[in-house]
Amino acid sequence: MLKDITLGQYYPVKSVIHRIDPRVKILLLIIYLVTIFMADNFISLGFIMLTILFTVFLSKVPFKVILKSIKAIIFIVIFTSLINIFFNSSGNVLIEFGIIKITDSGIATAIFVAIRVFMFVVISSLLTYTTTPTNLTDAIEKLLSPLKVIRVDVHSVAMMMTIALRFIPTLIEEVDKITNAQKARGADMESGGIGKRIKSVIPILIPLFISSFRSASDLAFAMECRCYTGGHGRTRMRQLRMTRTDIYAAIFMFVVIACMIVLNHFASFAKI
Amino acid sequence: MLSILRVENLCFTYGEGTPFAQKALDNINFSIEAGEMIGVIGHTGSGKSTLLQHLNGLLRPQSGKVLFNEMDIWEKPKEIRNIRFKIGICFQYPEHQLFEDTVFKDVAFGPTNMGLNETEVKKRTRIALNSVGLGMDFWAKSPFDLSGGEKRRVAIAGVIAMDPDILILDEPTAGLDPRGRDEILALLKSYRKDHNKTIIIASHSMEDVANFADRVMVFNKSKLVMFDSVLNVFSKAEQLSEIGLDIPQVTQLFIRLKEKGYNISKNIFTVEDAIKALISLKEGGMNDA
Amino acid sequence: MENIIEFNNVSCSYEDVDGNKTPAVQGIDLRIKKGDYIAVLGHNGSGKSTFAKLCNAILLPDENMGTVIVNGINTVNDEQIFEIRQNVGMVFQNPDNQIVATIVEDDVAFGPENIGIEPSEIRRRVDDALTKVGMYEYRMSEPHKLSGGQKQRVAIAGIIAMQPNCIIFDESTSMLDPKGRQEVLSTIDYLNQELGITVVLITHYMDEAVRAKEIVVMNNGEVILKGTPREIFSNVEKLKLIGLDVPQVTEIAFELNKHGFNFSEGILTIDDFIREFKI
Repeated sequence: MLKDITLGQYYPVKSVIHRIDPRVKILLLIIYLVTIFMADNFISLGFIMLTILFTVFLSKVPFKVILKSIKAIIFIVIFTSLINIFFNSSGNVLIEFGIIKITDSGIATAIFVAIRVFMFVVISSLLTYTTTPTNLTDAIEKLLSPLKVIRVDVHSVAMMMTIALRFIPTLIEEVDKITNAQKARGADMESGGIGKRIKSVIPILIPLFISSFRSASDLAFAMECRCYTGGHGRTRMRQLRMTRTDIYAAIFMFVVIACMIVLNHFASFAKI
Repeated sequence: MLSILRVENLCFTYGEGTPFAQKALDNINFSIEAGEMIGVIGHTGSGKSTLLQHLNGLLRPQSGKVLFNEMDIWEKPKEIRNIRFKIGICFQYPEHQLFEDTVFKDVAFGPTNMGLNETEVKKRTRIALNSVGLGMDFWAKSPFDLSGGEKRRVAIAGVIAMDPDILILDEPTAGLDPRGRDEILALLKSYRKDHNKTIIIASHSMEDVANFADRVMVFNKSKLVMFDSVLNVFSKAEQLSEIGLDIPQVTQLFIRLKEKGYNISKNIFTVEDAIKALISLKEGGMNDA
Repeated sequence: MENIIEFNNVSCSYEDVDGNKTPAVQGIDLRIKKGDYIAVLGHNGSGKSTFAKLCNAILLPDENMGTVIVNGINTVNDEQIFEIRQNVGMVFQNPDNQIVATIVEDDVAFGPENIGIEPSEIRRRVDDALTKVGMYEYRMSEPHKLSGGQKQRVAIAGIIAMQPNCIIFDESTSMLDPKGRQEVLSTIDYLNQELGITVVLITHYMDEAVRAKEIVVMNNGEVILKGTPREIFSNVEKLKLIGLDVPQVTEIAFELNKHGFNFSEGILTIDDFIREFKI
């Protein structure tokens, strides 16, 4: 049922990775992504892959669950790989028909890029699997707080993210009910050309907009009644606190980068 | 007599095959005759709204059948839309369906979808609006400017305008104040009298059910646990309160009076009947003396 | 006893798009004492929602048309508006549209966070409030997975965590099923009886109003009746005339009295009825 939708894709188990402070986790993710880009040969890439598998293992998120997020991008990966195979003309030609030449370095690049993209997705999704949406928005608010100096209202941005997350399931349920009500009056949403289909969305969009505006104004009222005046003078119940785990995580990251640089230097023979 | 609507071995589970699987309907069987007025009661989550969505093909049975005039409604899946014109459902919140800029256009949405010509659409819309008691001065108004009770009447008119053989209403009086509630119930009664249609109403209110229904279905934990006359269902007061459904206060009163040894019927569901019964009890008593 | 809310001859009107003023409430004169349990009964459009909004300064009386005093503070006093709202909490009709956070306990913390309470104190208040409404075990749940009655209890916890003297329930049960209504109503009874919080229950259900110590009946923006439930429901004809229900036994007793029975006025429960039933 729709009620079973979980916000984001948080996977509720206890692990070292879950315990890392969300702020640290976001920063480490960014560094990790840069490191993946730094790898310029298969050996470095293989090493990074091992460290990622190790991290996934630590997180206790089943690999099956992670594969689901890979499935979502598999077509993009295949597409970019094909482009690399068909249009990379350097290296030794293996097969040739017409203007299309398939070369060994084309295939190598295709595989390299595919692995890189997969690793990107795995490590990014690990962040959302191991951090609750609340912690994520809290961390983003904290990390962006230097922007306050240039008058960016960081608190409002974070509040908007929270409210958006809170209302997504409510809206989905709403769309479902509206669709049923209109189908019961014979609304036809399955047949006809594009023009007709666009028109058939109107009976759903209008009630949805009206109810969203209503929700928004009700919510604003309720927030005002609970003394909300924006971020100024506000405290937080949940305090983000750095622990020893965070230091270990940072050390781990540092070691990975160091090994990376060394490997990049010595394995230049395997360069793409 | 042939049944107008029959349900056979109907089962449905939400999220089947996932760890979240939740049984909503467990082997439901019943049959309804043309012209009956049926009340459906049960808690939120008892399966009653899942059942309603099966009756006009918004959900497709995972097993079992829904038969309209003894024909499986899913015999031709492509024509399921035609079934929805014959079995009309009006859901609880009118806010979920009102979208046009005038009341008239909104009510005309159903008949227009049926592919009728303009004169016929207008004729049906006019009849539907009149039968819910919304006169011409309402037709050009925006449905969003109306009161809660009026919105609900527009929503009901939007379904009546398709001239369905069976009219199904989900919680038509929920959230309305007593005046709004009485108006809706009165218009449903007169609609039934004028058109002799089959009407099915899901409601939390036992008082409402006692007031209009011929027969009552009671749902509990995805099963149909009772389907009988109002008299027989309410006389099982204990079983109902075990499910957590309250019988009307008058009925409780008469059960208590009966226990006290007064010679009265336990089967009194409305205030009017109660007054009559107690007056005749008093007169009878005086005659004896 | 001291008054928590004081209405001194208050009128309040709203303006439509053309600038015409229509009075929503007129000449309301009412005192709500600490610890009271008051039901405001009226059909839709009777002015009862306007009444609620006047209590915590969402709406203000028309100029020179009376004053609303909350805990000694006049609601026109702009600087003290948060003191008023902290003192008089409000629970609304639609449970979905008053929960802000994605996790139950974060939502309960929202109010105290806004008024700058210490984190450890917020923690204590949140746990305490959730226990009081019986939702502690759901503290880590996502609001959309709760039932309507549970959501309303979370909303109530969010108000309790602000430690108000008074809570206004603005038709807080009208979107719930009977089970949810029962949950919320017994929570409200508990707040009043055990915690001594002043309760103002705005409703159009007579069976909810019966629970209160005092009922105020509104019609066309005016208070037309005021008294204990027993006093109020002895006016069967007047209530029916303005489109309100009375308990079924009350109505039966009233009608039977026309036929030679001798029930006293304001029969409310089955027990009352049976005690006085004589042939």
